Amino acid sequence: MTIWGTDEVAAEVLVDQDAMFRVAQPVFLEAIRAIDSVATPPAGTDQQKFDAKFDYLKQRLGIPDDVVEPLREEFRAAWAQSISLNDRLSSTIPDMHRQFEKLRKQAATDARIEANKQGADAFTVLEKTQTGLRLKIEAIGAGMPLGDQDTLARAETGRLLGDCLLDWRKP
Amino acid sequence: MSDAVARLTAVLREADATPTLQADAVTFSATYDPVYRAAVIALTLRAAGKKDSEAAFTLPDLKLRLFQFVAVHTQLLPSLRGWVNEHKSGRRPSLDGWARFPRGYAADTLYERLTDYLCATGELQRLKNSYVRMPSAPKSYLGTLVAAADAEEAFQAERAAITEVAGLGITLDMLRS
Repeated sequence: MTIWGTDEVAAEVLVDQDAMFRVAQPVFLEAIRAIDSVATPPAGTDQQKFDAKFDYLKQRLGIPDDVVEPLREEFRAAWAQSISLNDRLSSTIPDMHRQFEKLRKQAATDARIEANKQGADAFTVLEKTQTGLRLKIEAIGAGMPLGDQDTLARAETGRLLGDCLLDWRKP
Repeated sequence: MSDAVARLTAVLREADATPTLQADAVTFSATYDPVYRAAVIALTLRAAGKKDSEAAFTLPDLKLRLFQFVAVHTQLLPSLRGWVNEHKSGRRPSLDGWARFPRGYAADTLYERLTDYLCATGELQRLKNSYVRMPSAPKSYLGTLVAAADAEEAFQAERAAITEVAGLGITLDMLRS
């Protein structure tokens, strides 16, 4: 084992924004990184409405299986990751979790306003939501590594689909 | 996933299926919803509390605090089982200081605020020996919540967790250590 003194630390360690975030929010980062392997929502989660959206693409709009199924599973995994992340954050760092919950609503509202503007392309609401989430996350998580910001935005987009707030079915 | 978002957007555009987002329906996690938590507290008292001659349910405050927290965070059950086993093997680890137990338990201010409020409104009573009592009152706020939860068969995961935690044999000595 090597014990470093202040000179070695100063010479060998890069103290940048990422490093500061790792020191300040180790539990947050640990929670984000722990969800990578989660692929399915917990037992008992009602997935009927989630699946109905993708069935609609196939059955009503005639989109082929090989296009719809990979999308269905990618978004299902993202939704499952958001459930797991929320469980972890609410039981470990509730203050940070509450901030995170607030920014979801703000990001969704911003995305809807953007998508509803005259001349805006309504089809891009999904992309606007993802980008909006990413920007909000950047605002509260200054220094959070970019890969982790992406994981969070991805999980939250999945959650919007899983919670049925994002939809494309016509009655 | 950004790729998945772009792919899905392209699919929707091609099929002329306009996506809509109900931004006003984006809600806070139920963990912080006082109504949900009040229902869990009432269910915990009913499932784990002692029923007295007036059909009221009573449980020590320390137990109620832990049981309802685990009911809301069911993923903690394996860790809690481990903590109980350590206790039973004679190590007596403390709950608050236990490294594997999440810090959110100590920071769970909603429980205190909510029980204070429910006591102030007469839904619950704090007894002198640090017990919490839920009087039998089917038409009370908590009584109505429990009846609605029963009718909808809601909170199955929470109910199962409460039953399991109540059966672990957690004593007040363990919680005070």
